Amino acid sequence: MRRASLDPRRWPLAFKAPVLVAVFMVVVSIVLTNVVLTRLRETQERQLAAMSTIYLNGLASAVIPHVLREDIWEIFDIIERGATLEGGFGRASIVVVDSKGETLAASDPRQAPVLSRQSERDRAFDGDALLFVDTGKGRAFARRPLLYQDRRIGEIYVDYDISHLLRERGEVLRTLVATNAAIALLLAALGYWIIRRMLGPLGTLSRHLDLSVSGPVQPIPKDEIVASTREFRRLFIRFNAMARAVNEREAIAKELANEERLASLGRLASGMAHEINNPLGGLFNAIDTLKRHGDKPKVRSISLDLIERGLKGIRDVVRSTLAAYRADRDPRHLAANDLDDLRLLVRPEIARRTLTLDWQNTIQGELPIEATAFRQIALNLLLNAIGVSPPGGQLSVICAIEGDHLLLEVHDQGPGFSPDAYAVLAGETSSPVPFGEGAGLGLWVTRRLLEEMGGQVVIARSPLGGALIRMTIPLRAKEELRDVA
Amino acid sequence: MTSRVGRLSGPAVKRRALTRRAVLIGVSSTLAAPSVLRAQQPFRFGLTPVFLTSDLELLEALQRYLSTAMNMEVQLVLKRTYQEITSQLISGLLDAAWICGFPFVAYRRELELVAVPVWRGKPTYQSYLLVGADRDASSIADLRGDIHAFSDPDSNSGYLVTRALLAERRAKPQDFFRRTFFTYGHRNVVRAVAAGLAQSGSVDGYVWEVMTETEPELTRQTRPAWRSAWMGFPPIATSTPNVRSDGIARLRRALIEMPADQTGRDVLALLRLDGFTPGEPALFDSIAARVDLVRALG
Repeated sequence: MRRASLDPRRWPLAFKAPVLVAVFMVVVSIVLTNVVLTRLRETQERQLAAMSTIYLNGLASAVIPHVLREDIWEIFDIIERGATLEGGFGRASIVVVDSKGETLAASDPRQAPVLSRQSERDRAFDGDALLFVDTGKGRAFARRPLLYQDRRIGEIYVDYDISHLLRERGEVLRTLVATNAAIALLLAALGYWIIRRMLGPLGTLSRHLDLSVSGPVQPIPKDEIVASTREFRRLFIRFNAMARAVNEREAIAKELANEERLASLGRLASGMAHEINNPLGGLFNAIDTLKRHGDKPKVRSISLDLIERGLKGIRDVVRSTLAAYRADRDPRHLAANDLDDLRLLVRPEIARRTLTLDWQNTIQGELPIEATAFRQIALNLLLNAIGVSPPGGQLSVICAIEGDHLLLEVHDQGPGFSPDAYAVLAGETSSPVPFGEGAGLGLWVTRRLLEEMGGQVVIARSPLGGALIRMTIPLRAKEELRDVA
Repeated sequence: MTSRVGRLSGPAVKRRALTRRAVLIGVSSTLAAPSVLRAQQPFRFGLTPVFLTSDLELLEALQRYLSTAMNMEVQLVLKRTYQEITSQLISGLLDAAWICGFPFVAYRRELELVAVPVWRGKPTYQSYLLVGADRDASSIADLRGDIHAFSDPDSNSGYLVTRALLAERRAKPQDFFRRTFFTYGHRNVVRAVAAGLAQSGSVDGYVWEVMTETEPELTRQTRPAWRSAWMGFPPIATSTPNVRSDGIARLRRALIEMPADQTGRDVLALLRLDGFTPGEPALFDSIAARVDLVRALG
């Protein structure tokens, strides 16, 4: 599991796109809500102003004659009846003052007694404004001068409940926020779904690539290709073409590795023929001697002894050859004599080139390492070392347990590794392109086998003067051994 | 003048006022029709804010009763002030009118008594000084500096009594009170005091008492701080030259016999009155004394 990154650039697309949609919607809805609420407020205030004007004009025309006569009762009677408003505005509070600013009558006389001054009300108005809205109190305040023959004879003040208008604003705001939030969520969810659907084929591709790490590349099934979009269909077809190519190459590589092993065995064959041929001459001589002088007990005994030693030599050679070939069909654990067999196998080569082999094998019992693969590696390295050693040179093979690893060292006095050979063995190139004369494929096979066993290789300079190849192979994971065999 | 009708109709509610006016116009036009034909002049009977509610129900019942009992067309004429009704009565535009004791005394020579209403067994009533229910006051002295509501400058209980009270103290309303105003209706005085428009008011005791039954939620906000002595109830009067006419005789009989008739009883029940009595001008002597006091002390 990857940890969630805080860097938005690294968020998955399936998350980023819906979040972007949601953020976009939030921005749009904030702008929209502002516009709508501003328009609503303007409309409401325009309507309030119009309503106030009409209302106050009506009241004014009714009270003006009585204001002229300062008829307190008539003014009260008119404004008290006129105070009840329709349409949720509740009961208005109306105050009529004379030209001196003294109250003539109020719809609620206890709030504004007769003769009281209303300068507080006047001060609340901004300049010559005729209307202002106090959202805190939820009331609108309006005023209108009472004019008679162009002379100001008084003023009429009215304030009324507009909390239902403010409530309406609140409701509009809530509705807008809820609707926009719902739309944003819906679009985000839709975006998530769409992106997930669009990126689905990438998941398929990724899954198939993941599978190819641990085994052959699996081609994408036909029905999945048919179900995908045109772009992905092309990608899938290409991927399948690639998968086929890779799998074919893998098969060829396997075949090559197999052939290489047979080839190395073939190269040994001539040596083995010598190994068998040498005692054969002696054996035939011994048989001749027996034919002719078989009646002499001493001669018979010596001849039989000679035959036995010769046959034993042949048996050893045959046995180790069988061991080298039998392996793939019977994966088993490595034992000390598996390695010692190799010494026997390469002995003719060593002898032919007049080399000296220092053989130090200290492993005991069975080790949880696949015998065939390890023998192949050791044989390849050994043959390689023999091949590069000058006549009369010295070789050294050390095999030992080091902690939970098996250690294999091969020293020689050769000229050291060429860069190409080095790259192949160190795994720095994946190309199995053969270089030089045959040796390249051997190194490449060694590298593959080593990787399968999870081993590592270090190439250094040997104290003998040539190259040192030092391999360590872990001793655990017995199960894997069988799988990779 | 139909706009003034609303004034008489006490608990006038805007939307009802329109219908009421329409009906009243209808009533007057049907009554006016015979006068155009000059077949017979209708009997014109003037009414003032003495009426409590002046519901259509009351006006219709009264008109129906008087027409039937007097056996002639009766036209009810509604005026806002006592002054209007008194002057029309004196000038002969009205045959009779229900006026107040004050104008009756003031125009004693021009007016004659037709009948006096009987309330709670007597042809008398009181004047109240009304204050807010939660106010602690028991005499006119406690009301100094008030905004004070009178009902009508020609009303005995709604003006003269208080005026005389102040005259006894060598004071005038405009000096004693901070501000006074007229509401032209006893019910309006109760409303003004109840709403707090006025801190005190001069009101007809009979009107206030009846309102405690019909509109207790309004009177509950007020309290009589002071009650006057008993005085002659606002009478039905006619002009002196008219007193011997056949119409007046019919009217007096109709009024006196009101309790004997079902429609008459309905009218009396609406007015919370027991009936009518011929009455004596002496009933109004105490009012005359107040008029003299006020005139003497200016």
